Amino acid sequence: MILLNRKSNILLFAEMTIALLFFVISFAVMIRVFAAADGLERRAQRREKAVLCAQSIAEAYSVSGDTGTALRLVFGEDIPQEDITLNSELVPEDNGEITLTLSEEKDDTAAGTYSTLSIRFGYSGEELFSLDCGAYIPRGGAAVE
Amino acid sequence: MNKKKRFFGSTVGVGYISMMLIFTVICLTILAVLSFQAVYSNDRVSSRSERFTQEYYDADMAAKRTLAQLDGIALECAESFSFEENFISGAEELPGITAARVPGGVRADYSARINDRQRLYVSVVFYGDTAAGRYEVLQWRSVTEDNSPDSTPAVWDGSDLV
Amino acid sequence: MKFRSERTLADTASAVSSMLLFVLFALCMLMAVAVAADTYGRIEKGYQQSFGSASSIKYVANKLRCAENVTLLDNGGAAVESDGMVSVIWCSGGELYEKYAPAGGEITTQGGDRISSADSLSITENGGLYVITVTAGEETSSVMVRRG
Repeated sequence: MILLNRKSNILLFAEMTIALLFFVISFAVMIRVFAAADGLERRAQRREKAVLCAQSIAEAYSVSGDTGTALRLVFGEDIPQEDITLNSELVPEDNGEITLTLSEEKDDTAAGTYSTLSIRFGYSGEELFSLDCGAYIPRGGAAVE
Repeated sequence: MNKKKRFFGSTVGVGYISMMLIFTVICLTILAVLSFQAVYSNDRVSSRSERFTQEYYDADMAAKRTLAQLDGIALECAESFSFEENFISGAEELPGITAARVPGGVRADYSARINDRQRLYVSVVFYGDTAAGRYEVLQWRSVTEDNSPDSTPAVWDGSDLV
Repeated sequence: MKFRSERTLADTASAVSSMLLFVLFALCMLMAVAVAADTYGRIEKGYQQSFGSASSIKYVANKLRCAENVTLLDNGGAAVESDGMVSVIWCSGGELYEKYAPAGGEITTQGGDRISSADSLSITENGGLYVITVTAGEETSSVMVRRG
């Protein structure tokens, strides 16, 4: 009987050791898959927010033709146009994790100013989303626009 | 006594652990695949939406560039003897523009391609008298084109098959 | 007799310890499944909320872009006129609804087709722009669209 018990226990421990080994390996793989899914989800959410924010800046810029006014309309406050950093909710914050880079080009003519604005959102040195938009503001202003 | 021996002798049978492990690994695999699939499909939808946003603003930029050109023509023609005639001939030199006289000025219609299904349609009235501004944007909106081929299903019309 | 008693004690200890080990192992497995299910639930919830608010806001923004005429409603929605039809968009009971009617006809915010999940919708006007704000769960998204 003792022999049988010992044999049974040895078998149990052997099975458990092999099972644990297999579990550790498969769990490590699963953890990697979950981590990748979680990372991708966070990235997709950041991108989604960046797209909406870029769209708002583009719309505000196309109405005003001025970067400062566009930023004020979107963020509700005057913020410097260089080295803009935002937090995860895309609210301006010093040393925020998301960077917003704006570059404007203006083409003045006798009739008005056609300008383009390049909006770029970055996260950890990698580009999240970029959008080019334009504005045309006539001299003397349009009657209705 | 026999019963007692059996109870203490083989508390956990060989194979239960393996079965439990297989069940757990299957559960984990299903959950991991479902998570990844949900996130991946969200990512694909986001990418499509981003592409559309870029396409829309590309069309918007092209439409604004055309508006700037038309406004330049309107400025040149404002001092001329007949604003309407000169503006129409000048505007129609630009590709894709139709211009027509309206009371007080000229209406210019044009569109910019957003993608295969949508266009950005613009209608602007340019005035000869610039007291209240040179132009007024009547419409600046995206329109969906129905490019789909005839969707009528092929139904047998009762004629001879051969 | 003593020898037999010691043997039984050793057997019992061995059986209990192997049983404990088995229970510990089972608990570990259960915990792993629970943690995985929780992570999946979190990812799925985040995806649903983000998808709900993003799709609602994009839908409304595209509607406004296609509009010939827009009337803002008191309930935060809007009546959008385009190609001879008026479409009323509003939010009620955690869902975003839309209803079509011919232009000029009477239209109410009753019935309508469900568009997506959204807890609240607000369309306001600010400096020649429409500001669309949609809330779905804990997610609040906002976008600006210029008046057409």
